[in-house]
Amino acid sequence: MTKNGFAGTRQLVRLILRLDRIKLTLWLLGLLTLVAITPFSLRAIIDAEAEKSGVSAEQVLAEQAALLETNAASIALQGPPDALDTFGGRYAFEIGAFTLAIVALMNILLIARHTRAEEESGRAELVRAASVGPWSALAAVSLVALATNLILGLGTSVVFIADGQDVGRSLLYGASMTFCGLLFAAIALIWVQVFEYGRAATGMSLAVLALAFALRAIGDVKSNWLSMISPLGWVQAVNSFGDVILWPFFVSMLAVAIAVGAAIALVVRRDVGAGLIQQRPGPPTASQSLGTPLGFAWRLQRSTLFWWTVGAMFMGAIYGSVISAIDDFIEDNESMREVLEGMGMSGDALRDGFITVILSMIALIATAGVIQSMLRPRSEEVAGRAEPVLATAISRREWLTSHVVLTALAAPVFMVASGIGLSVTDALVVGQFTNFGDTIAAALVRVPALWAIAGLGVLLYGWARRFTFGVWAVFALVAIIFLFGDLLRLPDPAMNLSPIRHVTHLPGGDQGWLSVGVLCAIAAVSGATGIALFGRRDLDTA
Amino acid sequence: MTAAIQVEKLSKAFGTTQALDELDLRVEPGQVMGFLGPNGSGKSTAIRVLMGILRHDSGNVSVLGQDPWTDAVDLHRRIAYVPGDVNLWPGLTGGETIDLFGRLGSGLDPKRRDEMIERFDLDPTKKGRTYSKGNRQKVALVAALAGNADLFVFDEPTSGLDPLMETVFQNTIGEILTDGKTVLLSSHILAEVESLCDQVTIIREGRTVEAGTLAELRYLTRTAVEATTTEPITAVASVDGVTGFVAHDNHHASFSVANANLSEVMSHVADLGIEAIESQPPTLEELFMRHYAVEPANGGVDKNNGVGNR
Ligand SMILES: Nc1ncnc2c1ncn2[C@@H]1O[C@H](COP(=O)(O)OP(=O)(O)OP(=O)(O)O)[C@@H](O)[C@H]1O
Ligand SMILES: [Mg+2]
Repeated sequence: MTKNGFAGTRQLVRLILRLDRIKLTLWLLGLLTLVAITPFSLRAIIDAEAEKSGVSAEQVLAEQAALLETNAASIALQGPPDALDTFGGRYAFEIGAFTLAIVALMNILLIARHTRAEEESGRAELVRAASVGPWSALAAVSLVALATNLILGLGTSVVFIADGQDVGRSLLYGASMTFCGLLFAAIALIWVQVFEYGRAATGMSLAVLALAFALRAIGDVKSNWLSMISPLGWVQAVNSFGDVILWPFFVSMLAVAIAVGAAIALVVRRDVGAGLIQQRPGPPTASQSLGTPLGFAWRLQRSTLFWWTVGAMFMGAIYGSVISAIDDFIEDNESMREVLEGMGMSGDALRDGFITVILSMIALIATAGVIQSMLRPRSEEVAGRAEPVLATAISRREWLTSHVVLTALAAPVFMVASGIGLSVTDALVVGQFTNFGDTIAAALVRVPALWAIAGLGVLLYGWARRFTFGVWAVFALVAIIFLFGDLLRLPDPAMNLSPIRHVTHLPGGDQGWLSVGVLCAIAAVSGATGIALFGRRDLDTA
Repeated sequence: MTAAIQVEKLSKAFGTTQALDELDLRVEPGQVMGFLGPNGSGKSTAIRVLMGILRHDSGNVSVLGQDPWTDAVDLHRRIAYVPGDVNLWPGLTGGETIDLFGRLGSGLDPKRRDEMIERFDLDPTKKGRTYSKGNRQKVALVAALAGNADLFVFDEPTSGLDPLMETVFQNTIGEILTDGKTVLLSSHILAEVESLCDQVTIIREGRTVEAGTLAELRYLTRTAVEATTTEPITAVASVDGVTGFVAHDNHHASFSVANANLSEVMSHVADLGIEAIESQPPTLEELFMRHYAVEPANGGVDKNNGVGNR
């Protein structure tokens, strides 16, 4: 490897930092805020509890630890219940696998943005021609990712140290966060070499993330080896605040080194702009269905919708496989059963509670898929592909409605798929179906919440097109309320802003049908208004 | 007979940018209208208003006798449009894209489709992403030309075509004209305009500054003359219509003459006894330079009284 292979790396780093200065700052600030809020609000909650029951904070912590250790839903979402009787361990648990997944997401998007997306827009070709080495682009984005994850890890350590945690353990925890980011940056680096489109590379990286999350969820609930084949499982296995083990760091380091080496080897084997997987020729004429507005919208959306459906079913399946573990918990744990029965809870109620949390989380994730589908018309418009289509005899209303219909159908399809996945794997484990209809009904009852969010997106699209992507802000708000609302002790009116919160009473609970009706009405009115307004505005042209 | 396209005092602003400022445009059925103007003068904006892609702020617009905004769907069955930047779907092949536009738009004659693909030497099995700029344009052109439209609206359709394909394009337009179709062609390629267009409309900063046949526009410009005479020539400098007079010596000078005054000036020079004379009609480039470069403040429509089809 000659020195010239990396020529110009420094300039490229500077270019990336300039292009990304706001984006990366926001990501880091957001993540570190999430991390910093955890000790702050958890301490407040525990102190309040201690004062109320007149015991020490440590005792409250220990009591809650005992409950959390049997709470399969929390473990599936957050990670192994290690060292929960220490403040540090509890913070790490609350920050959880979900935050690690967000760190991974940041890295995947960072890598895709500065490799494939750049090549697609042709800018990379210019950069390469301007006397930079073949590996410089890769090296530059890797350096930026390294720096970003180091800052994130250090910041996290500082938060823990400031709370009074052991310095060494805090640094270990920060390091595990850094490694989490680096692992997924490396995974993305590989996929961007393999695929020609940023979208495919991002999709595959996200699929790996979903798989990693799922594996560790099962592994953590059942405390078995599955966590140990998941990158997310590795970094959580370090157990910074309990009995520390260090091998996960070495495994991670080795994995990152191998991945970066492979990416370096792959990058010189392909042309700029091309993937290792080449395009094949396609049909010279269009099938009959492509000639209708709906058929055309379907053609554009079908692969995205298909993969989201598969993903939803897969997520359901993963969590379905651990439902029976809840019964095991109770059977194994005499005193636990007594406590629960004292609280008037049966095993069935626990099971329903678990499914409620899981389906709500899947509804949240499926919302991202629904939003992606809802945004398709906007992407078409921005890319200049809507203009020639709307210059044919297809009306604006037909064009947009076709896409909106697909979005509206996607929501129940995703949710039913996840319900089926959940029920089937549970049935495989237990040997029979348990309350299949109830589970599907519970999955479906969440659909109006997804519709409402998509409807708002359509309204934005027709009314204030430059802010269409603001629908992601709505999504972020809903996600924060779902994931951190209780921890942040948000007041009820704020919590109630999330549509999903109004449709979480099934299975087993008492779902008020008024909220379902209101959500449907919001979706219908805002969607229809958006479509009408779209018919009256200028089209953006490329 | 009503005009195929009739635009009167069309204005359109984007925020503070006045893209179109009382633009006038009239295209008769069966005509090829060249639509010219410097970058950013508003050609694409005007075309998008004609296609119902953009709304206009004020003025009257009618296309094939209908309103391009309210009757868009009806109209689009009779119009074929090729935008300046052709963006294709990465996952659809060229053939699929052509069929899609045809079925959703002005129809598709399968025989003509295959003939056009053949003529433009297009590989219809390639995916959108893998086409070059010129080939993307060819996809849009084939889709437009294989349909049954009455009116063709082209926004710089050949900016990416090689000379061979440019010729194919010009020949094909020649053919569709014999079927009585109407064409509005915006272009920066003057040779193309010269060979295809009966009439041209030149716009600047959203206003029509000139409209008429190329011959009429030529007439409005000047002819370069270099002459040697037996009598001293210097007096010619003060004759009406003569500008840029440079005397090389007493009997030999170069100057340019407004075409409107050409015969008077020439008879004046003839009276001096012509020993040698050379004259050059304005090239198309010069014609356009004049309109593209001149400040438009007083270069508006009115100055060129009665020219063109107004
Ligand atoms: N969507 C838009 N938003 C804001 N300004 C616009 C928009 N579209 C066009 N403009 C502005 O309107 C003016 C006319 O642009 P237009 O694209 O019509 O020019 P054009 O004559 O087609 O130029 P070219 O020869 O470069 O294609 C320009 O000043 C341009 O910047
Ligand atoms: Mg233009």
